[in-house]
Amino acid sequence: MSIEDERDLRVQLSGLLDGADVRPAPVAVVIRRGRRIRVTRRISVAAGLAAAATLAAVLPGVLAGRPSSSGPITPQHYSVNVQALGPVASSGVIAQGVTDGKRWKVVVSGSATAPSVEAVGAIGASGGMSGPVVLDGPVSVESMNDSRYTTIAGNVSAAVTSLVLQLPDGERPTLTPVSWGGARWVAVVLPTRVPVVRAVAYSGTRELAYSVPFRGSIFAAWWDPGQVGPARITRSIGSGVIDGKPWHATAQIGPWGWCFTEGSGSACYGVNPKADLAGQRLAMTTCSPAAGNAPATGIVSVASDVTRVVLRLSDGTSASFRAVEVAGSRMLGYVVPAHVRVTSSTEYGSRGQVVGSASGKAVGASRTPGWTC
Amino acid sequence: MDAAADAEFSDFMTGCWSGLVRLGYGLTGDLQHAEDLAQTAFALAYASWGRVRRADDPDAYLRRIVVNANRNRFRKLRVPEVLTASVPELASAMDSADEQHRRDALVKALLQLPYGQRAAVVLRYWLDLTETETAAVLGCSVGNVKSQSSRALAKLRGNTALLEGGLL
Repeated sequence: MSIEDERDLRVQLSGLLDGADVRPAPVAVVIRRGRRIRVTRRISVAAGLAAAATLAAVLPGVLAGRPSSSGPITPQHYSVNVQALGPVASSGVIAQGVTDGKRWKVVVSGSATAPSVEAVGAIGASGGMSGPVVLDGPVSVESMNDSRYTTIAGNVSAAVTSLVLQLPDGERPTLTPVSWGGARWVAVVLPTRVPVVRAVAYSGTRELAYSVPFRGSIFAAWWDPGQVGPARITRSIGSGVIDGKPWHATAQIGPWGWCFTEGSGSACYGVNPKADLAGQRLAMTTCSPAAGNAPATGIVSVASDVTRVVLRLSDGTSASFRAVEVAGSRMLGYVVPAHVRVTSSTEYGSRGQVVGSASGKAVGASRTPGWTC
Repeated sequence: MDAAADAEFSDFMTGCWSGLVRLGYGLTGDLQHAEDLAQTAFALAYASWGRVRRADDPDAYLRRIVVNANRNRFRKLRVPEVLTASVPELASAMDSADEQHRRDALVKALLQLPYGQRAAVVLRYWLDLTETETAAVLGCSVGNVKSQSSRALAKLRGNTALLEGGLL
């Protein structure tokens, strides 16, 4: 064997894995991990009680345009310094700065159609936000966090010249867009314990849009200046015990948009997901398929005449879920044990009459056949 | 994600799994780490599946995650790559001693290459990607891929372990 040319090297390398046992693709394991990543992106849980308590104290006052009764609360001491960069990214660096004394950079790489964003530096590397740029408004940003740092990154339209974040103590880091791959990017690394109270996109000094992130890091809705989001409503849309563990589904609607929390994750929408019903009697708003022994859960929008839905399950049991009026929509949270499928569903009206039914995979919206998601 | 998207992702992962593990194995010399890297890449892809599926080349996207994730693994853990006497990859019971020896020597030689050169070699000569495809995965120019590959080949030709093992 000799490495005299590229062909020889190819031959030698191609034999490297011969005889080595590559396990079959662990699809279920990966989907569970992927689902956790999605949840982590969507919900800022790492700071736990500290951030939640801060938000609970600060947000009502801020959102109502008045100081909270106890005054601004600074979640411990923190510092965020964002350095302004040139209009075009150098070596893919779209933002850099110092947070809590730790230097960081947010780097975008890959191609324009498949960019990948990661934060690197003294904060430790974290990657994950990726995929083609989808910008249907002035701003589209995502957040990703670990127990210490949250990376917020995304794209802004050509009209946006700055994105200003309002933090709990009044600090306002300004993110300046940087061009890379034909898109304009903004990014910042914040301590996870510090929620963003509000983000405002400017064109020069003119405000273009603002967002009030859900739980301090989920930017679902961007409003025009002066536009007010939906009134704040928090409503339980389902609860119970599944496999011996309590389960809750909650709708939280407000200036952050329409957010639905079930299990450990939240899904937020910038528009009322009621529109997704599209004439159907039932439509899946969000769902998480069963994984391992974890049950399938979800939230369904139902027609106005549906008050209760009974699911018949493949193990011979049935489960009843009550629909709740939430901000002009009727919704219900559901849970289906793992390894069990829905064989049929029946919708009941306010007088107990049957108003609809479906069986097997016909249940649900066209892209989400079946209640097991 | 709905059931149809899950099924689509499952098909995609099943089709790409072994290729991505091979890439990880070439980069790490460790099949366990390779599978971890591949799992990480697919989990990230799942998390953004709606967008990844619309990408021009989802495979390239995943390869890039593996290359970067492995690079970040060492950055983050601050663990130097320690060259050991034996390579911990799995070997079939049917492997002859010679084959095992050749495999060990070649993997060790790969691990001695700087990361960029190693990645270029694995992508170009193991996964048979074109120079353009390799450049896209590594996020560099085609010229850089050529120079990295050329330097890597020169180093492999000068590797004493390969020479002493009669592999050159």
